[in-house]
Amino acid sequence: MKSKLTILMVLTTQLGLASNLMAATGVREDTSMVLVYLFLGMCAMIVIMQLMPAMFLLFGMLKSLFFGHKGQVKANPAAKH
Amino acid sequence: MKTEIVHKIMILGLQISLYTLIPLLAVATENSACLECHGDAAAVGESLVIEALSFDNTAHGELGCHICHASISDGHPDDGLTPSRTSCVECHDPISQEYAASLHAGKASCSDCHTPHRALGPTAVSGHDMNRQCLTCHDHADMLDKHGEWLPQADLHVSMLPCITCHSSSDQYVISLYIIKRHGNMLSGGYELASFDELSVQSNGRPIEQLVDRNADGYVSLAELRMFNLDPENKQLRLQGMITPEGVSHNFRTQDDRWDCSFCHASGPAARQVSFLSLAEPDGSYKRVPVEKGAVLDALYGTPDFYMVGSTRSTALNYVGLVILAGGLVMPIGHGTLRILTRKNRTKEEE
Amino acid sequence: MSKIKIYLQPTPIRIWHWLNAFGIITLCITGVQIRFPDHLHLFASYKSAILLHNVAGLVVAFSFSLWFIYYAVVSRTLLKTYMPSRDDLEHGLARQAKFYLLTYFLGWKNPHHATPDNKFNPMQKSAYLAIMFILVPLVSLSGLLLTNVSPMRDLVLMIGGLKILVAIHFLLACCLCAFLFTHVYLATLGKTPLEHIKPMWTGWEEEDSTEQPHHVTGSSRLPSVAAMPRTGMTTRRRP
Repeated sequence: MKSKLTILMVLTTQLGLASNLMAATGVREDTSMVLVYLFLGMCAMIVIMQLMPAMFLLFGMLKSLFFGHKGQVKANPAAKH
Repeated sequence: MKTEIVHKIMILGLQISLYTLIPLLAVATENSACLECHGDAAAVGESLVIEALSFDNTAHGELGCHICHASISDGHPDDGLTPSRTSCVECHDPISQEYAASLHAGKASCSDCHTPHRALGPTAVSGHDMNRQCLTCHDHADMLDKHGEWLPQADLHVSMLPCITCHSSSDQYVISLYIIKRHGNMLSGGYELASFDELSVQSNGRPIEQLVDRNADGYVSLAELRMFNLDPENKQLRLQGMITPEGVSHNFRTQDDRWDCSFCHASGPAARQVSFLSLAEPDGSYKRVPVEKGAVLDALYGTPDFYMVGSTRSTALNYVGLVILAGGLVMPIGHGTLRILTRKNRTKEEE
Repeated sequence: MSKIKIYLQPTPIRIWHWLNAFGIITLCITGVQIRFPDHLHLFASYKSAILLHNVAGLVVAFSFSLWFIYYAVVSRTLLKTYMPSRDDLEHGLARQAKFYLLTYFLGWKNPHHATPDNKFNPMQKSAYLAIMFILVPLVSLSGLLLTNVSPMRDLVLMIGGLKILVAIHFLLACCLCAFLFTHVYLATLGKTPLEHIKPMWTGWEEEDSTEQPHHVTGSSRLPSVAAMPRTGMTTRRRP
């Protein structure tokens, strides 16, 4: 987590510097949405991480529903080897 | 002896005032001779009529008709000669050079934007009127779309700013406060710039600036602004603020630094100290009354509806906010300190 | 002593809480730059701070509606969870305040014990009631009006003008930020600093199975609550 945060901080600083440079050189490339995308990405990460247990549960249920039998069949020969 | 000196001084004074007055009077009589016919649409036709009221107060009016129409003789109009017209470059050469290098050159001539008989300096024109010149060619809806591509709240910016604040350069920008009036009720009517006549009615015949400048000292104090805004008599009126340029260049283009919002918004309160109350005159020009320094930074009722995020914040509110934040730190700091000091009590309990 | 796990915070509430937390912190930081750009230049440009502030505001408003819909429509426990009872007001507040300000330092136990049915202590209920029902809606609404002034200009004027709207937004935001300091601090007040924060992330609270709740209201005794089918999960042994 710490390293992730460090990467994020470095990235933000870099982006900040980059857009300042662009303003200075007169290149009018609008970079102001980058932070918004970064923010929304983080939000999506929060949602996904929170939904993970529920998704695992769902996958588990689906797996046992549809592939439960096949899985056992596959597992058996593997066990023989 | 003494009376002799006084007399001499008086005569000298009279002479000086006559020397200065005579040319002015001469111009006035000359202008009024021309306006006798040209002030009347029935006599000369719509295309040649000149509004005396607005012309007289322009710098051009003060120069007199003959300066620009030099060929007019005493025989006019019976001599049948078309009077000469001077070109703007004759007097405004630096401006025309600057203009020639701008994006507008070749697309609009001087007279496409300016009427020489109504030409006013930038501080005598309302921001709204300035934009009217631009809107002759630049469609309002197109401009909204174009600005909306990059500018947050483009509609607000386009309607609350003179175009030339961003599209020409000036040494100094001030805040002009205009009185706008609601036409109709809340559901049906929007606000429009209040005309001289409307404000005259509102002020009951007093000079209109006294609507705000109550003590008539030619200066609008913060207290007077608050009184104006809180007076129930004025509930149809409100003050609209605009950032206006003090001098206008003719290098029309988007100034590079205006792409950056911080040109206006991150400039901090120090940059937003100077403001004027700008009021309509009968001739269509605008008169300015200076406003107390920093009045637009007042917390609430100085200019309740004029706020520029990042530059007109109120210091008083900042302190209130700081006290609130400090209140939030009481628990972490106060309780936290005691918590550390008494930590032994809790470890014992857990053991 | 074995440990049992209680499912204290359901998924929608956890999503709301962390979106809210991330959103509000972003709003506070961008807000400072937006108000004091000449002092703080954290984000690349003023415009990027404004855009980020607007989007974060929308995310907070969205997550607020998630919170509201979950409590009001799905679990139907909005008032029960947030409205202090008569007993809370008469005795609970004083009891809880006494704990925070005095008996905590003496090493006593918290008189309130969080259960899915009775999550908040009386002070939390009162504070959250004010925050979730007054503060956050007002900050969000004033923020929405400020995000796009022109279409609702008449409403802005009815409030008294842009400056008054900004003053409301700014001062309420300060209140929210002040609450945030207190909230984060109090969240660390468990046996370990992370004791209360963990369940907010995982949903599960661990506790000693032999331990009885200190303060039981009505029928919400811990074992029965933990095994309630409403949450869709039953009490699990610690893996």
